[in-house]
Amino acid sequence: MRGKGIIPFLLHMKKGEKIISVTLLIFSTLIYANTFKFPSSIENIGPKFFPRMIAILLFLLSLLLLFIDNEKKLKHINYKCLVINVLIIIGYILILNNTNFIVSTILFLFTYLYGISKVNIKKSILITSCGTAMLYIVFLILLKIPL
Amino acid sequence: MSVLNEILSQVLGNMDIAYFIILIAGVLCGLIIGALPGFTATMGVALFVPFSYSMNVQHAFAFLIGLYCSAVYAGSIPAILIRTPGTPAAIATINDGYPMAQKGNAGQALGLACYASVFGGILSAIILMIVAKYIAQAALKFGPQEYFSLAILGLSMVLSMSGKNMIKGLISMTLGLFITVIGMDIISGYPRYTFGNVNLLSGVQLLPVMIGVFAISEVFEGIMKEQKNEKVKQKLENIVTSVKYLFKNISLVLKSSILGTFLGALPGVGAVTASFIGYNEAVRTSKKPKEMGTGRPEGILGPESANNAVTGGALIPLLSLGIPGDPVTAILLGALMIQGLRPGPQLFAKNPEVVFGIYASVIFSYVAILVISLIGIRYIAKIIEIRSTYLYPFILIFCIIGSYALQNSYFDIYVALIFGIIGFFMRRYDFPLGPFTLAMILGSIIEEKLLISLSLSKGSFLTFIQRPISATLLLITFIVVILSLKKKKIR
Repeated sequence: MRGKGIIPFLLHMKKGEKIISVTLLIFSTLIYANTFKFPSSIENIGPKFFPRMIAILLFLLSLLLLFIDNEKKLKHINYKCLVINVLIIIGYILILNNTNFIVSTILFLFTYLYGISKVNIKKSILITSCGTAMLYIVFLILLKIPL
Repeated sequence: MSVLNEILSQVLGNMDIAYFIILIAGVLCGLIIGALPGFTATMGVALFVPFSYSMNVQHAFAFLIGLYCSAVYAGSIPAILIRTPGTPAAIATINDGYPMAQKGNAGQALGLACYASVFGGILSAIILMIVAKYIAQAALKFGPQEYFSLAILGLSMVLSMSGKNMIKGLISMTLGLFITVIGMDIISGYPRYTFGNVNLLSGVQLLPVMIGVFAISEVFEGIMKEQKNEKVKQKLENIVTSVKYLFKNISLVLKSSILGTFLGALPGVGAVTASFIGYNEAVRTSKKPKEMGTGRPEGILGPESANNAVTGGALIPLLSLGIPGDPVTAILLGALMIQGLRPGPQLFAKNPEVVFGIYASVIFSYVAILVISLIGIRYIAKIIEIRSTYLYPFILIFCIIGSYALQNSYFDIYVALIFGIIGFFMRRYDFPLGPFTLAMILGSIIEEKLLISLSLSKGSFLTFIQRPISATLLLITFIVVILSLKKKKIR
């Protein structure tokens, strides 16, 4: 049972929502603070104007968000799955940059299909080889992308 | 008639067999993307736009328009067969499409969706051809004040896109506006929020952000869901003969198509809203309203004609004013800019063949959709059975290579990935993506036109209400805001 008042309200609020509101408040403050470095102009209409308007609006909205009770149940986030996917993508980009398209794509597709999607090894090899060939034809031969 | 003559002479003169092959390829890609739940028309267009750089303009738009139109239609296939919309625009079709399929009339339902989509799409293309030229001519009188006010009107649609949580919608919008200020200031050239990174001097590119937000985040979302192995069990018969219901309900289809076109032309409204309005129109005008939701033909004809009519409608503000009506047309704006073209009145004057090529692509796409669907819907429906887990790595590769291909830059890939992560969290925490992308599209127009207007008027904000067109647009904005707030209060 939630008590009356701001502090009980904030304590009751979902952790993720609180973090987001506070992060946005800090972010909007940083946006505004950064504008002091921008050059001034005549009649205050210059590079500072629009970012300052945005920072003020974002600050006010984030403050409002902090005090809104969002009853909707938010979906669970599988952070492990997300991090693994992001790391595999970064790995693909780094290998692509340091080797070539074929090597990086074979590694990426096989890791994804066999390691993440749990496709059986024969199917993984088949899809990886046919897929890499098809992508090579599309990107490097037909579209002539310099990879 | 003169518009038709112009199209025929400009377009047919520039078409070759490659044009039609590429158009059909786009339609087929769109059918696959639209039919697969979890993949959207926006994602499809975002994935393929970077590759359009290597094609000539006519071919590029033949592919992209074909993909766009067919993806919006194909979302109805899984909606009818497995009660899961392939694209958000097909949600309303489930109401009567799925019950009709359950009664053993899946083929009839798919046929109705096809006929309605083609009718809506072609009618919207005809309205586009008639109206766009006049709006472009009127826009020649627009100064920076009018463009600013029009962009603000577009931004006010955020309130209707935000759903239940208006604050989160406005926050998404503000974050989108912030992205547009990164880079060199248009007037003074001062680098803002670049932190010394030369890659950010020209700002954050729209296309990698779109790829991240609409494609990569969608893949992350899909990976987290439990995969169901869906099988298409229904027999697909009476597909072609379902056209009789189209003629029996012609006034509904006509009204929904016109409504869809109009809604598509309003920035920020989109195919989802249009499909629900089309469905409401079907309920309102049905001879058996109590049977709606049990498999009535009008329950498919209404939403499907409306959502596909949006495709032509959304091209009206894009081509005539250079202001996109929805995320897909924002991406198409990017595609035009890749080709060195800027939509708006100048496009009609300097590159009419591009404009007429786009008109023709919309019409030919719907003709191709009709033919391919009536012949091959049984095979297209099988696409639903493909496990998405097989496709995700390929989608990611398309995202990565597509982001790279824009400027041959690895930086853009990281931008796409970062926005993929941001987009994923925005979805999870219920921050709508529509306002974010709309603000990204309109933000740079707003700032540029605001600063130019204020420097012309020596800092006076009265300039926006002293000009009649600008004042009218701002008045309409005010009315839209009041109505949206009132509607939220009633809810």
